[in-house]
Amino acid sequence: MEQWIPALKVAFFGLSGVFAGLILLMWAVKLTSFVLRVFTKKTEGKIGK
Amino acid sequence: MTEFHISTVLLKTGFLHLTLGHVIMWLIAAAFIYLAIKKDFEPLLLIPIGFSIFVVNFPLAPLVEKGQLFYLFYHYGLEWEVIPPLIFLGIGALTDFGPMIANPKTLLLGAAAQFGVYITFFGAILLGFNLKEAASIGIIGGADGPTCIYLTTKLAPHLLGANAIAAYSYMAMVPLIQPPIMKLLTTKEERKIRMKQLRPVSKLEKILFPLVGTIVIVLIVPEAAPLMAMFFIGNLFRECGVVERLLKTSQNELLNIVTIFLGLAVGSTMIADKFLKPEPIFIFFLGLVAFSFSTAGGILLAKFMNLFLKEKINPLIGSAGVSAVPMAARVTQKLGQQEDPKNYLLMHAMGPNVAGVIGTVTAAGMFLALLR
Repeated sequence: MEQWIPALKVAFFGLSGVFAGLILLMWAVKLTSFVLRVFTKKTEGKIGK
Repeated sequence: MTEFHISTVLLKTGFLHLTLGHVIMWLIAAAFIYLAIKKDFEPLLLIPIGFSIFVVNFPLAPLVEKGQLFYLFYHYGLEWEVIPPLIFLGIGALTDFGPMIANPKTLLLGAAAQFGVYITFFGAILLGFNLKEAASIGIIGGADGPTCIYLTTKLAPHLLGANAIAAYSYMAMVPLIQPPIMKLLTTKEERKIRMKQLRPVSKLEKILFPLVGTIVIVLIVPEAAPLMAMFFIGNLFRECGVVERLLKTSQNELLNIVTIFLGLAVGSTMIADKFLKPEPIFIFFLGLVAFSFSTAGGILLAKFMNLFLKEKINPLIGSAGVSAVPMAARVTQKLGQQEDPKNYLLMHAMGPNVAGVIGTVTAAGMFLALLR
């Protein structure tokens, strides 16, 4: 029975870690795409002129 | 000159040392070889594993004791952490992250599909396993063989054979396990939802992804670095377009070579007196629980997300959050087309599918960080 408290902690921190990791990755991917889009548009504009 | 008696010669053969346990293990090995050949269940793994189980269960055969051939495969391949990361190199080289980059929300589905890992973790504790053993059993729910092997080798090496076999068997049975759960948790209308075509992803985005992914995941879970680093190096080989030879080697020859050694090393741990216990039966049962809850976790989160999204997602793609790539995505496609033959979900399902790989490695890394 004494296993249950550490087990709950492991599951809580573990699942939080998984969600934190993948949510941050999601935002990192969005940010990268956004920055690239802005950057490429600007470059394209300059090249076009 | 040495004298030879018939009795001493007979004692040097295996016949007099053969036990019922050995014969049962031969039958188990035969069952895996049969499933691989006849039913096409993960043959690349189950053939070497099956034959390895068969051959290490011969009495007096010098294979699995310290310094012997199969022991060396196990020791240098798995204990030294070499084989699972090399398999990840190959998987990374084969993975296209385009669908996930085009629709990053699907990363959440890859995270939700890890619910089964934690539910099974509790189930295993309930059945009397300790925390480390329970973690190694729970990770079966991620449907990622190399990660399961990697974690089990570190936390509960005595369960390696049973865990690996359960993981690969259930991965092969994804088309049988998932559809009833997918139908149970979705309505006909939900299964008919058509999703907007994914935007094209530029080459630069694909090149940057392995670098961005490494930064995020390895900073959060450094313990996942051996698997994640190799996964993303393989993916960089694929996307950069300038290392064709390294890419081909990672995708083919190297992956095939390490797969042979992985199978032999895993099978060599399944020796009669260690394997024929109640634990493997519990592990097989828990593995099924893990797969089922992981499938359900992805679908339920997709349904929950639909409450807030303008453009609805088809909840079937949530089931692909288990990382059995690409089989889980194919199951999604098949089920979607049963309701609407013109609904193409495969590429949408590839997003959560590859996100599931990252999710499972992150879960394994968290277990290592908390339990080792």
